[in-house]
Amino acid sequence: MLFSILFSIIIFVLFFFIEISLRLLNLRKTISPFNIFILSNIFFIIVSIISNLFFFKELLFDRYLVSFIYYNLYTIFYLHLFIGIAKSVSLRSMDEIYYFKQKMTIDELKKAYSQKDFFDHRIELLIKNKWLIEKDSIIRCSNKALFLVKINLFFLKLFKISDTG
Amino acid sequence: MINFVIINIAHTPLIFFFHLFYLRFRKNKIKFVYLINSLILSLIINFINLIIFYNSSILKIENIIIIITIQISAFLIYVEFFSMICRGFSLRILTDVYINKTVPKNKISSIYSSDKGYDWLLNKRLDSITNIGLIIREDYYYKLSNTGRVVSQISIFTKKILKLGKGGE
Repeated sequence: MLFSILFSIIIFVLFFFIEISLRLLNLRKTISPFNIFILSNIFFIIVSIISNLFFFKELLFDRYLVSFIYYNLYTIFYLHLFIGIAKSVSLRSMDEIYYFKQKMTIDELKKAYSQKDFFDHRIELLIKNKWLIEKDSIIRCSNKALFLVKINLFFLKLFKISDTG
Repeated sequence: MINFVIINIAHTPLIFFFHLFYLRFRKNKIKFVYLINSLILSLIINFINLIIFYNSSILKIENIIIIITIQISAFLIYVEFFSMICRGFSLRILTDVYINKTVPKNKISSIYSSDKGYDWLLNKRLDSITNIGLIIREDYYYKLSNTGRVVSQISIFTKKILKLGKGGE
């Protein structure tokens, strides 16, 4: 049990260190949590194979499986915080208040965190990632967006939630 | 061990079903305590089923940790999914465009969330962080609480380290 816990912590710390280093060196800019999750799992598999070949030759597969379970919990925690910090409108609002000597009126906040910051950047991202299609400044959903929206509307009906956003 | 892990993973959808029960039969829908209750109920059912299908000797300390780890991992994924459905900014934009079929680019902010718009979005967010005590409303000002100050410092530091820019864009 101790091996699984320590092994998973060591690999996660290694992954996290590499992730931060690559970002600080501007070699990695993705904010896609799916991308980070897949990469973290690939990293675990590679390190496990190397450790099995050179260090822990007699270790059973079960130990790696248990380590993988713990490792994924740390990764999911990290992604949870990552998505929250990267995308959160609430946190951005708080950060603007913090920069502005920690006290702001709503109008000052609207100037600092403008509609342009809010919407324009996100819309450009959605167009760039082909969720929205722009033609002559008219926007419509792409096919993959249609699929996602229908799933969203299904769950909103299931959960009986009306006010979203 | 693989069978044990698979059985535990198979129990994780219980979180969704218990939470769905709360959402459909409770008046006040968006409460974090319903999510926690769903996790606890799912864990209890998981343990009971394991004791029935194996026996109580399955409950060694390592197995208990594995069960809890798998359930918490699934819980965090579900929380993220539910948060996206309820508050997802991009998803709401896509939904509004879908409902309106086509939208002029400069009108998207005004039709946001069934024509509620940017002001509604900002006020809603400010109200929710005021309710959880991260900011305080004083007359016309919004001020960070002590907790809010700490949260903001951590957020700014993390954004710098991970080069995430200002965030919320």
